[in-house]
Amino acid sequence: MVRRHRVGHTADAFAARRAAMDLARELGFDRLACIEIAIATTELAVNIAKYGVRGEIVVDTITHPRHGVGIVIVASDCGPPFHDFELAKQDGFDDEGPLSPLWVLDRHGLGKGLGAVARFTDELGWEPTTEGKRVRAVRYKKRPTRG
Amino acid sequence: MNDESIEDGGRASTAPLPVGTTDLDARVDELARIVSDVARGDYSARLPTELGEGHALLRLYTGVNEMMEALSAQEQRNFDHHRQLEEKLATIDQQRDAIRELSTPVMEVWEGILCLPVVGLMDSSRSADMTDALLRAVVSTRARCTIIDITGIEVMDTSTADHFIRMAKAVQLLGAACVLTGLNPQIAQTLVHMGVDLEGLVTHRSLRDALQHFVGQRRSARLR
Repeated sequence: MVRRHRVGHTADAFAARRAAMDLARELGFDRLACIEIAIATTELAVNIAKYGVRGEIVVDTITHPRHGVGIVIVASDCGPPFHDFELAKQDGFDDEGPLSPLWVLDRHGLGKGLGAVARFTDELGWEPTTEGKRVRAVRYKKRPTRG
Repeated sequence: MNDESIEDGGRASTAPLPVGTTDLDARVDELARIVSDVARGDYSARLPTELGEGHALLRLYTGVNEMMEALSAQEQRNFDHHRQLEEKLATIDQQRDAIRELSTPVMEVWEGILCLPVVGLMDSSRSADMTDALLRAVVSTRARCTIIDITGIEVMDTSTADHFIRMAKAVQLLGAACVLTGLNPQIAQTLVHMGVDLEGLVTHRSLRDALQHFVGQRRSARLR
C-alpha cells in the first residue's frame, strides 16, 4: 500500500499529506495522531519544495517486532546532504546554525518544521543517497515510551 | 468483406505473376506516394483496388487501405481526445480563478469589524492574496478590528501558522486589532506540541465570542 508523491511545489505537499492522513485513518490511528502524522508529512514535503529541489514523499505501512504497526514517511530529494542534522532539528535552526532573521523573512517559515517532525514521530533519521538525501520518519500506533 | 478479399488474395497468390515491370513500377510509385502522404500526416488517400481478382498486389493494397482507415480513425480519436483535454484544462483554469476569488471573502460583519473565514489549504500564494485583500479592506472600511476565522482549517503545520502570524502582524501595523477564532481542540493541542508560539496573537474560541468582545468594546468606548 505504498503511496508515492512527487514534490516540486508547496501545493504538492497537500497531496502527500492527504495520502498520509488517509493511510493513518485506515490503520486506525486516533484523530490527533492522524493530524500529527499529516503535519509531519507536510513539514517534510514543504521542506523539499522550500529548498527549491525536486523530490518525492513515500508513505507506507511498517510492522516493527516490538512496537507493532506504524507509518513510515520517506522524503527523498536531490538537495545537498545535511551539514548537521541534530542542529537542524532544533527550533529556529537549520543544519548550519541559527536561522538569520532575513532568511526567516524570505522563506516564510518558522524554522520549526524538522523539530515538529521529531516531536510527532518516534524515529527520525536520514542518509545520503547518490542523488541527494533521504529522510525517514516513523510513527507507531502505540508510541514507544520516549526518554 | 475484408476477410473475403484477403481470402481471394490468398488464392490468387498461388497464380503466376501477371504483371509487367512497367506496371509494377507504376504500382510501387503509387505506394510510395501513399507512404509519403502518411509521413506528412495525411491519411485521406486510398489505393485503387480494381486490380482484378488474381492480381498479386491486391492483398497488399487492401492491407494498406485498411491501415489507412485505421490510421485516420485513430487520428480522429486523438483529435477528439485532444479537444476534450483542452476543454478540461480551460475549465480547470476558470475554476482556479474562481477559487482564487472565493478564497478571500473579506466581509464587514459589524461596523468597523471585518471577518475573513479561511477554509481549506494555505500556501504562500494564497496567504499573500488573503493578506492583500484583508489589508485593502482594513484601509477602505477603516476597520478597527479583524477576525480571522479558521474553523475550516483541519491541519495547522508550521508554515500555515507562520502565514497567520504574518497576516495578523500586518493588520496590527495598520492600527487594527486582529484575532484568530475557531481553533479546534486538535489544532490547539498540535500547536502546543509542535512548539509553535502564536506570538502575541489573541485568540477567541468562536467567531461569536470575538464579535461579542469587539462589539462590547465599541459600546463601552462610545459610552465613555
